Amino acid sequence: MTRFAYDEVPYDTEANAEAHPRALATLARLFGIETAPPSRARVLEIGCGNGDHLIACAAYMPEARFVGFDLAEGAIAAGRRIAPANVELSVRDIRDGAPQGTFDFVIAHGIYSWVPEPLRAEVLRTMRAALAPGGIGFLSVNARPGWELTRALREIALDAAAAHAEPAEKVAAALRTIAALGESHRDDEGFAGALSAHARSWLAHVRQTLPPEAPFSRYVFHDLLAECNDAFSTEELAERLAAAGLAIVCETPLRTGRAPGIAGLAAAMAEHGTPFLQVLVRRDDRASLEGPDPSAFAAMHAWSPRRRPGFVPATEDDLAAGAAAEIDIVIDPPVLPDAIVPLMRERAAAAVERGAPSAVLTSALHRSFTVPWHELVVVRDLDGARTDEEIAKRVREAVRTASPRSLVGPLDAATERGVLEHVASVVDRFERYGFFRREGR
Amino acid sequence: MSLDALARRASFAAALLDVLPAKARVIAGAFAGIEPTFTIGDVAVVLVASASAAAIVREAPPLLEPPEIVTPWARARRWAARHADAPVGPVLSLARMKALVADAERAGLVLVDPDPDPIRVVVDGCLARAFVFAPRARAPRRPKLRLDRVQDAWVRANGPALGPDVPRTIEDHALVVLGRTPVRVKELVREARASVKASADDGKRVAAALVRAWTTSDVELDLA
Repeated sequence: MTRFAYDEVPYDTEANAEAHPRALATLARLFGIETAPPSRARVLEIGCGNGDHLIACAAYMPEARFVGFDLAEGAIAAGRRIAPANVELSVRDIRDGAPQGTFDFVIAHGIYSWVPEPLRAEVLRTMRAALAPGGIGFLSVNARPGWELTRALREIALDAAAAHAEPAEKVAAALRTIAALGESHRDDEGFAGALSAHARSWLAHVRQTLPPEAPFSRYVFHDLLAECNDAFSTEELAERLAAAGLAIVCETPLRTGRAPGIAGLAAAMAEHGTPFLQVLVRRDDRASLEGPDPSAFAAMHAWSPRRRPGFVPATEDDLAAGAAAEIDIVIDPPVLPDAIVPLMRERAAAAVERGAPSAVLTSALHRSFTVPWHELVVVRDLDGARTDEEIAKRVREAVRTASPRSLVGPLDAATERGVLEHVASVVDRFERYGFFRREGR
Repeated sequence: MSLDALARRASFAAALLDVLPAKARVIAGAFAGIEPTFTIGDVAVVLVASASAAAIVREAPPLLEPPEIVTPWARARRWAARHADAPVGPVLSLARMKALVADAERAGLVLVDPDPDPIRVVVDGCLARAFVFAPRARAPRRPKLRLDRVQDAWVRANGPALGPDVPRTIEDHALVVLGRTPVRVKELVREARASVKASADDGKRVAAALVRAWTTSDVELDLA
């Protein structure tokens, strides 16, 4: 028997802002469903990989319970080594159904499109069986028709990779072929021109997601070159959910200005060519609104760069800005429990110490979750700094002494400037979540 | 799309590659599991569509304006708008196309094509690319396109305007004047010639451009 692909080549999983229980509860309330309080919720993740998402959420929510399972033994073992006490990770086959009990939130992120067809029904069946009556599911899929250009890249990449046996070689061959396609047909007015342009933007995306020290892109191996990778139209997904006793509540992140319902969502997906769809899902014995309820929104909190510091009660005007991801909107302002801060610092210090290029560390409510090394340094070293000058000094010192293995020798001036500029935005972000408070703000 | 439109494409492909048997009828059904395919005497023709291209034509809302939007998806939608009426063959993955060619070879049928790599179907977004198979004994060693036969064909566009905004060559002018009503290629060349300095190889150049456009389903060519 061949090894499970995710044991042969581990996948670099990440936490997902849109699948955070707070984010799910917020959208659910906007659409007329009152969930259990996220801070004390029971959360299940189907196909959790190494549990990074659950661990990132759990560290901030000690009273909530997080359960995850995956077929990849190596990933589960890695997650268990760092999981806090409120996270249970286990090796489990989806065909064995859900662990016992029901859950307020059930997440299936990055799994449905990538498992064989018979298992897709199992994913939905498991989600339905595990959801508590007022519970909310989170499901992500590759979406038609926007994914069709990627389908063409996938066919070409699979063809290029077929001559090679080793995963790294397969990925290299695929990337070479797609890069060549991106360089050719640039001015072609036909399909080849569109595909060439898509090849260039897809490659840029791969470069962004590739950790600096990764031997090759595991994302490419498990996505473009995956044995199974299919896309679904919005209507098709809605039908499949209905057959499993589930229904779409809304997409996430929420975009405003669309016609309501499945038809409106489908039209928007086709118009924009969005290749990936994330939806909130409810049991079909529970109702939800077709559009967001402004009165529910008025009781929430929002943060934006214009209103530092911290979260303030939201206004209806925030809805459009929130939909455009310019601000964060939540039911309650997230505050770091005191006990969590030392844990975060410990994990950051350990990651910096071992020269890790990145680590999953922070609350999944942040827009970026895999924290790169210079952010780890910020987390490790900011304790006690209260003024901008102190912060800048500590960061500069840390950046100079904590270069990861991928950087040989000291940073040059331009690189250091870039890092410091980035760190300034990181400091803002950490302050937003109450990680520390600067003086005079 | 009608079986008839695909059959006409199959027939034209066999004529273009000079393997059309004399007085043979086009009959649907040649390869198991791929419908429709065609037999013309001892020649077999499979018209295959790229899965991506076929889905985009079927599902993406056509985009006509504005041309300044140049995202990959906008480009794909503009391309789809030009192919709204194109015939679409059976959708095959690239791997299945390759397997088809290998299976045919084992059965003594040779792919007759000057550009035989099936990957072109995916890259060019072909909607009804003709794979023409002839018995090994009758297949030309180096297949060539009989461009002279295109002169007698009828041609029409599958969608709105094809040519560039500022036509320069005889090929550009031919595509610009081409509409959705079929015209004789000879007539098209004559009309396009009115806009450029005439040259002895005008007919051949326009024929080559039309075959390229036919391969990518921008136009339909038909001998009848």
